[in-house]
Amino acid sequence: MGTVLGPPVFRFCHGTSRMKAALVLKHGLDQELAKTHQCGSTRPGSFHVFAAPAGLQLAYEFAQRHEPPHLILRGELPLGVFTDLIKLGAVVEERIIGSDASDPPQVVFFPPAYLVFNKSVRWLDPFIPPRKK
Amino acid sequence: MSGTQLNAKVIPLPFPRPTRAGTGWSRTWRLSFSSPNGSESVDALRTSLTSAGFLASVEQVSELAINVIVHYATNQDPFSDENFVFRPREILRLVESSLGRIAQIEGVARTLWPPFRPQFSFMVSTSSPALVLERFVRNMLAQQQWNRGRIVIPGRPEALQVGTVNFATVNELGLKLSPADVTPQIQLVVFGDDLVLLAAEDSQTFHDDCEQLETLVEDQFDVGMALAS
Repeated sequence: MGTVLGPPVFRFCHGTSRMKAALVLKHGLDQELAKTHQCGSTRPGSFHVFAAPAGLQLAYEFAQRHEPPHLILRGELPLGVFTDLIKLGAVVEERIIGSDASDPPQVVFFPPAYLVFNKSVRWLDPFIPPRKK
Repeated sequence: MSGTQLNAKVIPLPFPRPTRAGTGWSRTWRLSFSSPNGSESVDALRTSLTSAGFLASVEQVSELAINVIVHYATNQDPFSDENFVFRPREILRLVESSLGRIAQIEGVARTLWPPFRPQFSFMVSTSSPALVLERFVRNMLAQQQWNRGRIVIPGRPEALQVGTVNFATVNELGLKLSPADVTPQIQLVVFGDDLVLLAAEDSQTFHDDCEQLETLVEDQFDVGMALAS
């Protein structure tokens, strides 16, 4: 992950509505906000992403669950921070039930990861999905 | 909020939204066909949907079009990952096995939807010289390192995982790319069965080059490629 010229990072994407994206960018990850605004999650309060750019298409598809207009948040964490969170069990990478073998796994951040996440995350320019044909 | 338009990187798909229906939810998939198998096949589809556990009804709109209406009870979340994105793939497969080849799903060509998207696609948005990419694809295919949609790197089993392969890893394939050959934003990604090349910047010139590359690879290696646009 990352690029040959830059420090290693875990780059991720998260599909949502523009309104909810603005809340995340303003407040950071927040368990109560997540519980209020999640759509379709079986784990209230968690934050779900895909590695970017492999998961971009799925992030876009999941964004369709939210009220339009949609947006794909993009961000990155230092790879060391990300792997430490996995070791702590605050983050898991898993296949989604019903997905095909070719679908990228999702990465779930649990609330214990939020403090470190909010301190370390670097938000990149979000993607505005093209209009549906 | 500012942002980057994502024309070259995401295939826009109009997933139908579930709507309230009585005490539960329903979601309608509008499908059309170029040459359906016949109206008796609709009954076969109803049976196969029920057998697969779907609470669904099939409405024949015309000889060339049907609506599949999926019903969700109150104890089911139609917005769950599984119900919203993945189970519909199963429905679409069942429709094809009963009714014949779908032409369009929600007005969008069948070949853009999972599970029917081409197995080997080529999604490009980058400012790197096309030659670099051409060398890469030629080399990888020539060495038969392209295997069932995954890049096989000798001695690096972790690279078999679906994920991002950076150009440092590409160098290990023997291409000896130098940073001067590529922009740091470029990433080579194994996306399911797809080889995906992505970068932060868009360039019409490079987009044109990639179309040529697409033709070249198709002709030379007899594989289907689709340039996302």
